[in-house]
Amino acid sequence: VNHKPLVLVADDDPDILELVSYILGGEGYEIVAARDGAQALDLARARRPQLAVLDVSMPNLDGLEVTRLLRADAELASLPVILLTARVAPSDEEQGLQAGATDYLPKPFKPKELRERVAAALGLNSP
Amino acid sequence: VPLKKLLERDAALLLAAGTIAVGVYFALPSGLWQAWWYVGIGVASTAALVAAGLGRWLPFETGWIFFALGLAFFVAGDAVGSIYQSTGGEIPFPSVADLFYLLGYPILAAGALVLALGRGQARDARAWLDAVAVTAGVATVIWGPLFETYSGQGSLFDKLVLFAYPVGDLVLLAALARLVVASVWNVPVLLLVAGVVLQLVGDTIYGANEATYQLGDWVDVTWLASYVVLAAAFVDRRIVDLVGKRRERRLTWWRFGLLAASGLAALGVVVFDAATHRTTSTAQVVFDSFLVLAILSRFGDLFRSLERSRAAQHAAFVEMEQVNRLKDELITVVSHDLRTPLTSIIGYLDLLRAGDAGDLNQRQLQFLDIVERNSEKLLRLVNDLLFIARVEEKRVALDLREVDVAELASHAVEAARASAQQNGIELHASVGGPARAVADRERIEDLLDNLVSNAVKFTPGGGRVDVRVARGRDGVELDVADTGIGIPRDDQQHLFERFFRSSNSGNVQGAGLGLAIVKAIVDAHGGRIAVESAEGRGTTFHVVLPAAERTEAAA
Repeated sequence: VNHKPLVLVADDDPDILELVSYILGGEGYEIVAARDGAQALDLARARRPQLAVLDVSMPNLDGLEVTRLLRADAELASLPVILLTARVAPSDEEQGLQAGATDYLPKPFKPKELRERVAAALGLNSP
Repeated sequence: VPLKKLLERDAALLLAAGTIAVGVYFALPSGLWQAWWYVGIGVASTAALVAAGLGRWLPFETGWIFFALGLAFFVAGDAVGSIYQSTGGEIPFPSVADLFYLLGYPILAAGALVLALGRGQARDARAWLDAVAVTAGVATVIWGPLFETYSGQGSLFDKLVLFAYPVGDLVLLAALARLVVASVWNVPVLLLVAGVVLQLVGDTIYGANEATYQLGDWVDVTWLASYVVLAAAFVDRRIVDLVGKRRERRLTWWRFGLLAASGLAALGVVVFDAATHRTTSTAQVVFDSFLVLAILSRFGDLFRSLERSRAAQHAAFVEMEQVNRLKDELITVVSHDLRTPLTSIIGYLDLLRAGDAGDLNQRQLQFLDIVERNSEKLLRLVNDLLFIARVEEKRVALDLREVDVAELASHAVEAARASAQQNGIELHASVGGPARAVADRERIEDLLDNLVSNAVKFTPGGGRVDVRVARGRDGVELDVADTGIGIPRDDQQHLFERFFRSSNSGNVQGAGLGLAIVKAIVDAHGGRIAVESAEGRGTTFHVVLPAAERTEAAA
């Protein structure tokens, strides 16, 4: 039994990808990282993570499209998805939730916020 | 309008003295006394004009020399008449008096032209056309008295001399019209126009009643008043304001009205003659028809130029809209692209401070605090930019709930307390009970934050900032008053424009977005904002937000 939850992190900005991976890795999660939307979708199908943290603006499928495709995939339809984005208009948030995201976190965020949102999405109490 | 603005003291004195002198003229018994008093009024007026011109160094461009000379010629004509009368002789016709009078007209006309065409004025052929049309319009009305009466018997030379009078009048009128169609108006110009018109009215009435005219006739009022008023135009030193002022080249309503009046006058004369069963001369009918046609074609011009300027305005408007949209798009993109690096900066900074990269000493922590404070500032600026751009696109969505503005105001004051204390400013909140408004909590927090921190920023040490919240008749009333540097009067109207910074804001930091955001928030809530400020004394912002429940008290 793997008691370390697997989290898929996708962002085209390598610094932010490492930041998110580091913060969540520190929480004891196992991390699988993707540099664009297509890679994220492949990894989600191959690795079956317990949570996806996706950037919205990414090349080759953006975060919204990946979320929609995940929702359309019978085996991944219930995968919790947190969208990260630098687009912060209320309409952007609405779009994200309509695409099927579980939560929506505007950039920039504090590590504490990310930890809390991730824990909530995994249905854990704050570790 | 206060009298002082209407007339300068010297000009008013001259007009008053002139009025008395003209009154005395009519009280005098007819004869030599009256004849020489008439000349005296002319001499005194001319002397006043020359004294004003020389004494105040009036520039040549006012045309004062010509007006003085023209008046002098008229007065010389008057004097010749009086000399004949003094020596007991009849005035012959034509006499040297006629020579003086006839020379007076073109000289006065030259004065009006010098003033109209002064230095720095562009050539304006249309203004000439319009002046001629206006002259013709006046001529057609006074056609009868002007030409028909003068064309009496006598030798050809006599007729020529008689005919020269109305021609002189028209030349003077044309020059005046050239000044008037494109003039910048002020009191001296009005006096000039009045003076010349009085002269023309006198000549016209005289023309119609030449046979019965005697010295002391009431027509003399017009000529005498003309002398005094023309002199007063130059005694009022504001005549100088016209020198070098750009004249109106467009078809203004004023010019349009003058032209329309001329055209109507030409038509009116023909209609009047027909209605009163008078025969209209063929020459006049032809003249009037041409005049009306000319004026109509000029109107065509006018409307075309109006159309052109409207099209240009529209094009400018479209371009401005485009530029505005581009700017807003740019702001949105930039704020997004700034947010990405800020995410890394703020995220890693937080990790560093939390000791994720090892323990830090005091110095390191202190420096990182500064970095953090400044990245927060940067983030705030990015957010403000984005908010303003959204306001421009009318994409501000409000999350409306009942909020207690009094409570939020207390919070804002507490948040600003530290920086106020640091700068030695007394910060005071007087909020009574709850003051509920239907509003977006976050936006109202922004609003309060902006107003309070602005007040603190622009108030020097030892000053005071007062925040008051109360339930008023129209809603929740919020006042933020400071004893700061104030806002110059000229800046107040631009205060709420984005990126505007008051000219006296000196080295107080800011991008000029705060008040634009405040205004946008107030507007989005259907509220009102006003500013009251005196430079060096302080500023008060009054905000009114719609109250939540009007019936609360009654319930």
